[in-house]
Amino acid sequence: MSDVHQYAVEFNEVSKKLGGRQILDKLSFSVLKGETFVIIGYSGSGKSVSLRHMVGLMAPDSGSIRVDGDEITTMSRKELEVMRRKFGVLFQSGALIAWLTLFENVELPLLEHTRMSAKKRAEIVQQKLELVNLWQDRAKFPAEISGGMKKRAGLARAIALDPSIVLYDEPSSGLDPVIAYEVDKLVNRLRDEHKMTQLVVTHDMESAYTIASRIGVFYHGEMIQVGTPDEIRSSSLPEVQHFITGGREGQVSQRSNTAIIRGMPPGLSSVRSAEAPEPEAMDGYVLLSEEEAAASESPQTKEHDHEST
Amino acid sequence: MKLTDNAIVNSIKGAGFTLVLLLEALGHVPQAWRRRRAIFTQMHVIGTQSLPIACFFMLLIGMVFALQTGIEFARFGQTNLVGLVIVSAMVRELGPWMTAFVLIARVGSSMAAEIGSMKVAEEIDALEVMSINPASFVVMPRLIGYALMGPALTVVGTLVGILGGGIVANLQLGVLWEDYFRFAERGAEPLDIYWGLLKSLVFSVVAAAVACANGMRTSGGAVGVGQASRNTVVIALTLVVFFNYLLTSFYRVVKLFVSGIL
Repeated sequence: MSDVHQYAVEFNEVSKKLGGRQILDKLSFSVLKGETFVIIGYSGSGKSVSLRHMVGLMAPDSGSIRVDGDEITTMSRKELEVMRRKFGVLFQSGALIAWLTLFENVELPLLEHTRMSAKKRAEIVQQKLELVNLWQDRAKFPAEISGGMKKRAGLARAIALDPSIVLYDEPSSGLDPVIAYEVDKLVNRLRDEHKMTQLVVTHDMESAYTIASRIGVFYHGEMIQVGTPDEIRSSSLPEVQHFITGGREGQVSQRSNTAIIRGMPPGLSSVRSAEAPEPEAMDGYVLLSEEEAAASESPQTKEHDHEST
Repeated sequence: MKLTDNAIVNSIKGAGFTLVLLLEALGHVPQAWRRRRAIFTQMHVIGTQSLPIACFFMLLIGMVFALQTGIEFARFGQTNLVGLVIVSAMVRELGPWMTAFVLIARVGSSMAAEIGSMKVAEEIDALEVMSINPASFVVMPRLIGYALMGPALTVVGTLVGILGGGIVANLQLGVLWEDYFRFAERGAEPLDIYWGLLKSLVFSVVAAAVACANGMRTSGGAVGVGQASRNTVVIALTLVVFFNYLLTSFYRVVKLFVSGIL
């Protein structure tokens, strides 16, 4: 093994079952150093769970996860603590400590893990808070600021120790388009100016195209396609097309237990015909039961199912 | 029913989690000086802010206790002895127990809810990811704050209770203050006082550990936070009555041994 590893993060056949559901199913992918790797996929497809595995908050049932070439699944708690300092993580809601001000929140990792003087710490905090444009709000508590500000403050805290890898869990969810774009610009700045490896979990396609070096499409616990934004855009996989076009094109795989219904749901037109939207606009999904989902699969697989049962 | 859904299995898991968390937090006590600010905050929330309600409780309990015992003593013309009974009961039982009760209701439940909200909002995960051990950052200051202020409140509460008893004895039962205190002095030996404080310390540590553990085990949003809060009150009170019995049994043996009866 060479001293310099090409990959910041490598997943190799990682599987995880939670509450009887297979969340990760032999998941394999790797993230190059210095790139922004965006993971997209349906809600609940296991994207966030894969992030949790990366920092050792969850342990896989099987498979191998390497960070900078080091296997983390067999690490002790102490080793994990050291490994985690390579990471900065931005959680979905910012996850700021409620009883600390923004300044103290960003200062926290410096206070806990370095022996810097108060002056040096204040300098770094100022630098990070100015980067996310929150220095003027440094004395506020998390409860006093908006969701977008919490996320930006969370980002400032995540990069306080200048980590080599930054993970983002849904950075643009719950933000208005303008703020979401600001966050995207920040992500790009960190890549260009600080050469950070970044891993972003999102279902916002607009954002994914803006920031991604490569995009990985998550589907039922697997990575079904990895490619540049252009490759993903022109993907021939129906599942990928379905997701990136917001369900307008492509189709849900037969492995899924959702189906598209064309037309208007019954009953709606008769009740409020004046307010009801055009029938064409009313395509929707329904959740099928296990049996229905099985029945909608191709005859071949159905026969196979019958044989096995 | 699957083994994992079993209530007994769940309780054992919860007890194990609580014990491990308690030991882990105790292991971080050497860092107490570094976290003194958080500890002082907790002492303020747990102690200072609970003082008025704890005093009110103990005052009224002392008063009622004086009335009730006064009725019995009056039958034998020994109303003067009321101070003796009040002090021994206050120091040994009512002081530690009622203070624990007030603190669990006021502090334990909100502690679990606070930590539970942190867990639900991914703040606990964020700490883990920043390699800041929640047992040190969140649990240890609360444990120390509770363990210091529980006994301190017990001392104050007990004194207030004895005072309340005295007021009723003097105004309603017609006992002279000097008689009340003359007999009150005989109500408690040093051993009784130490034992009362030991009880209070044990109750405080148990309640803090249960509150923190229930908070840390929270899952499932707002409903989960409510559940953590409720479980804390139920479990902590149950454990407190249980430990009270154990400690009192032990106390009886020690007391008899010291008196030369055993």
